[in-house]
Amino acid sequence: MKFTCPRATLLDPLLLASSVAPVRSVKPVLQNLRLDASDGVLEIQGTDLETSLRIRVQNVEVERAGSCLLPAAKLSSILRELESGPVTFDTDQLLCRIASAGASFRMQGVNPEEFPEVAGFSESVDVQIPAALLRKMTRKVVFAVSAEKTRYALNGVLLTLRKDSAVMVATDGRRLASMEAPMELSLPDGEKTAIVPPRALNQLDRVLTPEDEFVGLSIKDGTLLVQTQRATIAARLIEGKYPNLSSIIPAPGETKVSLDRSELMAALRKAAIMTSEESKPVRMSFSSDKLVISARSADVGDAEVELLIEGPSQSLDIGFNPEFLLDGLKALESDTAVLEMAASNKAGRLVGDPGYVYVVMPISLG
Amino acid sequence: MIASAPRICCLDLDTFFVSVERLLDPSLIGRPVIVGGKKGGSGVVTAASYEVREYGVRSGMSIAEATALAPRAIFLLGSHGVYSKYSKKARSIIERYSPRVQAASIDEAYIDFRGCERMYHEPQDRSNDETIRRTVCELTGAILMELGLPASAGIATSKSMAKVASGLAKPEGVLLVEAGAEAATLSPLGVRKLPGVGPVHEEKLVRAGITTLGELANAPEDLIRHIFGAYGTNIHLSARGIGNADLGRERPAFREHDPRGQRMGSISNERTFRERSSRVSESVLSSLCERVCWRARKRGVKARTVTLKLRYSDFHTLTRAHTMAPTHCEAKLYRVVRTLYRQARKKDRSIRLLGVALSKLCSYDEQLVLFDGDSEERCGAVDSVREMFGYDAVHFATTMRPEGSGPG
Repeated sequence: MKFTCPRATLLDPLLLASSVAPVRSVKPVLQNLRLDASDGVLEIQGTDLETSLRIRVQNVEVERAGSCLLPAAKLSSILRELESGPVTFDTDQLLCRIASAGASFRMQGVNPEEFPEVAGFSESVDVQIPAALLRKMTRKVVFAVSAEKTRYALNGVLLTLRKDSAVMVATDGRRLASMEAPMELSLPDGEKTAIVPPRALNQLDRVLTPEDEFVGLSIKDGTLLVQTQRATIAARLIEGKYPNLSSIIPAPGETKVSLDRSELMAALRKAAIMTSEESKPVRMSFSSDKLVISARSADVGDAEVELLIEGPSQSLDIGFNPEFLLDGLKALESDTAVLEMAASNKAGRLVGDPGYVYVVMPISLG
Repeated sequence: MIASAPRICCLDLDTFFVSVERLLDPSLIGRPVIVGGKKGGSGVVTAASYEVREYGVRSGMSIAEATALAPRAIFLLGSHGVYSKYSKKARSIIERYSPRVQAASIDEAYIDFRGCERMYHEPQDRSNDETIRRTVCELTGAILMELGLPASAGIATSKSMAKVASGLAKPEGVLLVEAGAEAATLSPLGVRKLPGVGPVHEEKLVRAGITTLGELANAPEDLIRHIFGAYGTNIHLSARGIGNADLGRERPAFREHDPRGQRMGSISNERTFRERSSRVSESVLSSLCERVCWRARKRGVKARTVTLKLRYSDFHTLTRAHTMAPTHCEAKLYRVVRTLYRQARKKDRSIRLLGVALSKLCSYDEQLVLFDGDSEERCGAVDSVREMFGYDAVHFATTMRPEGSGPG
């Protein structure tokens, strides 16, 4: 195999593929990337057997078609350090020579046959989803995925595809983000659901380019397949039972307050300075004309931030983890955020963008 | 975690001693029976059948008086050993229906059916009240079928109201007083129907012009306090149907005292035991974790540091500490402590003492959850069960292992 390609074209795909390869693995072969060059195209594959990525680099000068398997970490270090300009890969058996202006490396590769075949890469996709919308949905929910390993299903994003809409939901049991987007999907009646590992969605976010108008998706045999113009992602879905959402997402509460989103974020960030590991909540006191956000930690000090608002009809004192609220506010795009609350011990809802609901449980103030 | 309204049932075994005597000697059925002493002798009437009540014989009356009122009645000495045996049998039937039972006397028990509505619901039930009433009918039916003892029951939102209702339901009836209907039910009744009102009080009340509970309820509180003294307020409330619905605990949930919010110092428990098998130690550790975490939750604190203390049978003692994200959850703590223990245990020698201590205590505000899932949230459920049924009502399976030295 011998090909030449500008460093600038090669770097990003190579880094993306190496981010999939595991740093440590019981199967050391997975720490490599597979490179296949033919007909002006270089294809790079990486996998940790949970998430797999295949990414294509176009307009490569292929002198000799072929394949090689090279250590992902070393390969990305080399590419990162090289000066811009063309890079040539030239293999002789398993040995690979990487040369660029002023620097050359020789690296021992592994037999490409040893790299596992990624299931699903050859499958066709079921539906086409507008890429921008899918990316938007992902960004609005993925941060709410649970990091705790106690409840496996919550470690993923629940994706529901229907004939006329797609929904993404993520929750860690304390807050929940849900985004529903209307779209025409060529699906039979009923719905398809999958619990998608956030890693696959983050990968997708990174591989999408401005040229991608649609993303192909298919859910089959416990695998989600995502196809963009330059890449294919195959992710093993999370098995498990997702909590029943209809019983979790509350109806809008009586106390509704419209706030300037950036003002509220700034106020929360100020008050949050005086929270601590032991005393996480900020107290939000809503009255008819103002909102006072305060925080107090025994060993640190206290803070009080005031916002003038068009207040709710009844006053309310409620405690929230400011980070949770800020996460939701960051995910919103509209300038106005609407906070809907029922009581100091009931879930609050943050709305503003069409189809988007962010639910946060309060902290009971001791 | 109990959401529904209080549903206290007062279950009374009708003319209990007489009923038992009639089981032992069926020839007594339908005849006037007085239990308490020989005819004309000393002693007091402990039970009187409905047949002699017509003559004015009442429990608590002297046998001499009863003899004068009903000279032809059958007088029995009574056999208390047998009565208590039947009482225990009745209790075990009651316990099939609700775990919250408080014996008030040998023939009377309070049962809390709060929160049982869904469990007993049948499609034909039109309301929760109906579900509970039907269930209590089943219960009195079971006592009659299995023991041959008639029983009456009153169901209401407080103990005192349930007691009055059970009196109104006699004989062999079940009466449910709906929430809100208490005052109306009590109002026409004579003052003596209310538990706590004795003959002396009655006399004083009559002198003040009060004969019914309705009048008692409307009387000025000062007057009632004057007649009943310190517990006048309670009597006044009871007359309006407002009362205590707490059965209390028959045994204390926990003996150790942990003042709430106390962040000073540490919380520790240790146990000396004989290690018959290696699994005993892990069982002891899990029981210690449960204990210190329960205490931490009672104090309303979480701990950042846990220390394991291990003493071998040769008295060689070592301690190992670990700092973690603040917790008061036994499931989380046990995982840490078990790891510490497995790493620390080097000697091939049996252990005689294990201890677990929590330190670097900090208070916390409770993050509420959308749904139950995390182990931290399960602690709340464990605490409520213990609050009701005592500390030993629930444990880790590891703690409960038969080879283990058991909880404690």
